[in-house]
Formats: sequence, structure tokens, C-alpha cells
Amino acid sequence: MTLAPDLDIFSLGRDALAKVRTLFDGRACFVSARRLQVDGSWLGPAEATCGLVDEEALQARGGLRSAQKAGANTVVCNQDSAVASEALALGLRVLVRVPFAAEEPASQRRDRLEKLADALGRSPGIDGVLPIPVGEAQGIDTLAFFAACRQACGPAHVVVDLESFGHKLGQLCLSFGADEILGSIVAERALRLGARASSNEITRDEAALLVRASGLVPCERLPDGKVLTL
Amino acid sequence: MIFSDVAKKVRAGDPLSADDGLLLYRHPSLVELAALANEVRERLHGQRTYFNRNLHINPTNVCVARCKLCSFSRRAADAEGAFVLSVDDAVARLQARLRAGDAPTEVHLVGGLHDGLPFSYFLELLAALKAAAPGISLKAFSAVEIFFFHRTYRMSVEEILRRLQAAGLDSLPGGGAEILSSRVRKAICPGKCSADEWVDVHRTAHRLGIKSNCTMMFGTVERLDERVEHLLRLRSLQAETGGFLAFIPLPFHPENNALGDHPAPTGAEILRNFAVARLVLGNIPHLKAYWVSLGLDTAQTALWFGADDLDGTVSEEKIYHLAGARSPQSLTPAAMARMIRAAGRIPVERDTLYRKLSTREEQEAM
Repeated sequence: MTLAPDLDIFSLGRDALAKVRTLFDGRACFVSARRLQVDGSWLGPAEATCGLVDEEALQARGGLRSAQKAGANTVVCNQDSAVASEALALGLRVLVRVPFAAEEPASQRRDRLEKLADALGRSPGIDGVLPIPVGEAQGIDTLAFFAACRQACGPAHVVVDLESFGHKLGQLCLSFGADEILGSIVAERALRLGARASSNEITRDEAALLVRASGLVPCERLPDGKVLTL
Repeated sequence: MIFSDVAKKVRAGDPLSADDGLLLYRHPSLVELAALANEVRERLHGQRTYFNRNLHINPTNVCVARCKLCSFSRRAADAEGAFVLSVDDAVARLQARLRAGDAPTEVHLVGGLHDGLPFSYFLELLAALKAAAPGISLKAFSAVEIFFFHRTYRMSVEEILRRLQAAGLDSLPGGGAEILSSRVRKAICPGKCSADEWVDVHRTAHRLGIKSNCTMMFGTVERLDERVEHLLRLRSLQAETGGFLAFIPLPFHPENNALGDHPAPTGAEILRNFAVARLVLGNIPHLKAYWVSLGLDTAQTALWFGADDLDGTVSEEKIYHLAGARSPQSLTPAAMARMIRAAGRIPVERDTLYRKLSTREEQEAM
């Protein structure tokens, strides 16, 4: 979607941030995540509090119960998927994937967000939405989409995946309606040298800084789902 | 003073003070800051966003300076990975672009401080590139290199610049400014020229009719007041000479260098720096989001935080990629125009001096 000439990105940002302040008292969480792969291995720090499994990987992993047994505590599913209610019944956290493409027409995007708002209204147990770029994420368009998600998603969390957006754009989403960042967050990062020169890991302190530098109060999501304000 | 007072000064076109600059750096709302910077950006340039077709050539990475922030240099000519590009090889790189039908309008030449090369090498390099493409603009040698030439070849800065100019030099890039503070320079780049010397090289260049850019390498050990001081020094020189074309904020990249344990500036910090720069540097016409250093998405976003220029198509960039930049090695003009248009701006192809060559719409209509 080319940014419409009449789109006021600053009004979108102001409104989205105001909503985060109202809904979450200006707090934004970070959560350390690892991801269950189809081959049964985990990608991400062993110490992660969030064990993420994607709906697409469930079949290969023998279904929800098996994934839960392996350590998954959060499921990313498609909008209106039957997996969501099953996961909720098992006590798993559910995030709904919201794809968006930079080139898509504005009307298509609007329709998707309206349907998403309806779906969230019907399933209050769904805890959050996870915008995912289809193709390469564009900077300003991504921020506009996060702001639109914030407006569409009521009290659900708008979660930004640092693996999808990188640390820089990911952090900026916090100024445009996101209230949670998810990524490879560790207690202590190895030096950026040799094979680890391009490591995506950030420390808990750095994650807190990403939140604080966005004008929000940093919190950490703990393994039991509770939130610790830092 | 509160934010709305500073906003009033900005709207009235009054220059901001050091305290105003600090207030902006500390303002809690990034969006409010961006909106104000965008007012200035649109007042100066409307929706226009500039780019050019350029080629980067690094003559050498051998460097006697010991900058902690550098991932590019090699200390000795025989060190692993050290290189000196021959004049023929440099010309061949330009000719390859010309043969491919992708003629750059500018060559950007910067390199290490190699104490084993004769001055004639640099003169021949410029002359040969100019001969290969007479209409091309040669933007070459940072103030740090010019000052090193002055020391090494025992000529005044003015004499060095005059000789380079006679060989084909058109303008100076803005690199090596880092932070114009002796405390910071001592900590991160003690082997480079001093802040005063950097400023004096640009002053001399401007006096000779050589336009230049200016930069700020931020996110290492500097304090916010030192960033403000840096901006004010640049603004002051611009008021004196009018020779700066663009200011380019460059975030520190931590990979493969001696400051590797220092965190890179965050996205919010980078864009805040753009916005503050646009507001403080009211007399420098252009603010460049160098996509190689920032990454494509952050550079595109910067177009709403004060920036009006994305630099060029580049190709063969080494300095930032060795420090961990994950951006592509080059972009086509069409890709640059698409990125600008996707941000809701109007792409304008320019030459080095920001003279409009064509808008992409005009090119496509041809």
C-alpha cells in the first residue's frame, strides 16, 4: 500500500499511543521467545519464557497437546482458526497472526482489520495479535499498519516480533500502537565477534531500554503469564 | 522553556539555542518531535525526496588512524585483507557501470589514511576518473583525509584542495566529523584530525567554491549536550560560508570493531536524532537518510522525521557492511523511487548539487 497522500501518520501515532496509555496504563511488555520448529527443535534462547508454536507447525508436531508437552505455551494461529479455541481450552496463550503486504490496496487492508475486530470480539480469550509482513516490510507503512491494528483490536495486545521487523523498526512500532515486543532476549549477550557478530539477541536491559526510549514503562512477561513492571 | 515554546521558535524561523536542542533530545514524545521536524521538511521541500545515481570507490583501507569505531581499516599494507586500488582498477569499476547503461552522475571516493602512497596517486585517480566520464561529479576525500594529506605531503590545506580541484575534485563528502568534541574524539578516534581542524578544512573548501556535506557519527560515548554542540558548530560554519549541502546523521555500528560491546543506537534514538537535526540545522538545506547505514526501512521512515534525501544507488559499499550493515549493496533508481513513493513522497533524481535531473514520473512518461 503506497501511503495515501491524505494519511496523517502523526495523528495515527498520537491516537495509537493514547490508546496504549489508556488500555495498559502506558506499559509495554517484552517477552523472551523461542520457537518450536517442525523438526521438533527450538529456535531461540533456551531460557526463553515464551515457547511459541505456529499453527502451521502443529501437524508435524503431533498436535497441540504434544507441542504443549514439548514446552510450547503460546500458539500463533490464523484468524478464525479452530485451533484458537482448542488452545484456549488447554490454557495456552493465543495470538492471531495478521498478515499485511506493503503493496496491498487500502480497501483490502481495511476489510481485513474489520474482520479481525469482529473475530476478536467473538473470542475474548484471544490475548493478542501479531502483525506479520508478507514480503519485505516497508518502514512507514509498517508503522501505519500497527497504528491501524491498535485501533481495530480493542483490548488485545498488539505484539511486534523483532525477528520479523528487526530491532529498529520493531521498536518504532511501540510508538505506533504496539504494546509488546517478542524476540531473542537473554540475560547476557555474547560479544558481537566472529560467528556471533550478527547475533539478533538483545539483553533484558536492552529490551527494557527499547520500551523506555519509546516513552512507555517497561514490563517483562513471565512464564506464568504474569507481568512484572520494571 | 517547554516544547511548545520551541515549536513557536521553529515556526517563526528563529534559530534554536543549545538548551532548545537539549529539550528536543529529551522530549518524551517521538511522534510530536517528528511532526514538528516534518513541518520544517515540508516547508523546505514539500513532498520531494531526492536521490542520485552514484558509485562508491574506496581507494585503500590501509589506515594509520586507530579509530575504535572502524571495521574497515587495516593497519599495515601487508595485513590480511589490506588493499590499495590501482588507478586502472578504479576506472574499470566506473567503466563497468557506464557499459551496463547505468551511468552514475557522481563518484564517492573515501578511504583510509595510507602513509605510503604518493600524493600523485590521488591526483591521477581523480584525473583518470574524470577522463573516463567527463560529466561526472567527483565527491572525494573526507576532511580527515584532506588534513592527513596536508600533514603527509607538507602542503597547506588550501594547496592540497587546489591541486585536487585542478585534478577533478568537485565536492567533499562529510565523513570523519564523528562528534566535534575533543573529549569524544580522544575516546573513539584519537588518530583523526581535531574538531577544529575538521571544521577548518570545510571552511577552506567552501572558500574555494567546493561544496561539502557534514555528518555526525552518534551513539558511542557522546553526551546529548555534545551532540547539540556538534550541530551548533555546523550551523555556525554554514552561517559563515553557506557551503554545506546536506547533513547526514550516521548511527554507530558495533560489529567487528573495538566498540563491539557498545549497543547500537535504537530505532527511536536514530529517528529522534534526525528530527532534532532538522530542527536545529535550519540553515542546512538537506537532511540525508543514508540507507546503507540505516537499513531500508529506517531510512524510509526517516522521510517523515525530517529527512528529504536517501543518498544514491551506491554499489560496492564496504565501510558499513563490514561493520554489520545488512542493507543491500546497491539499489536501482527504480527501487529507490518505489521506496520513496511507498512512503507517500515524490521521488526526484538529483545531481550532487541537488539540481533536479528529473522526477521518476517524468522519466516514466518519456
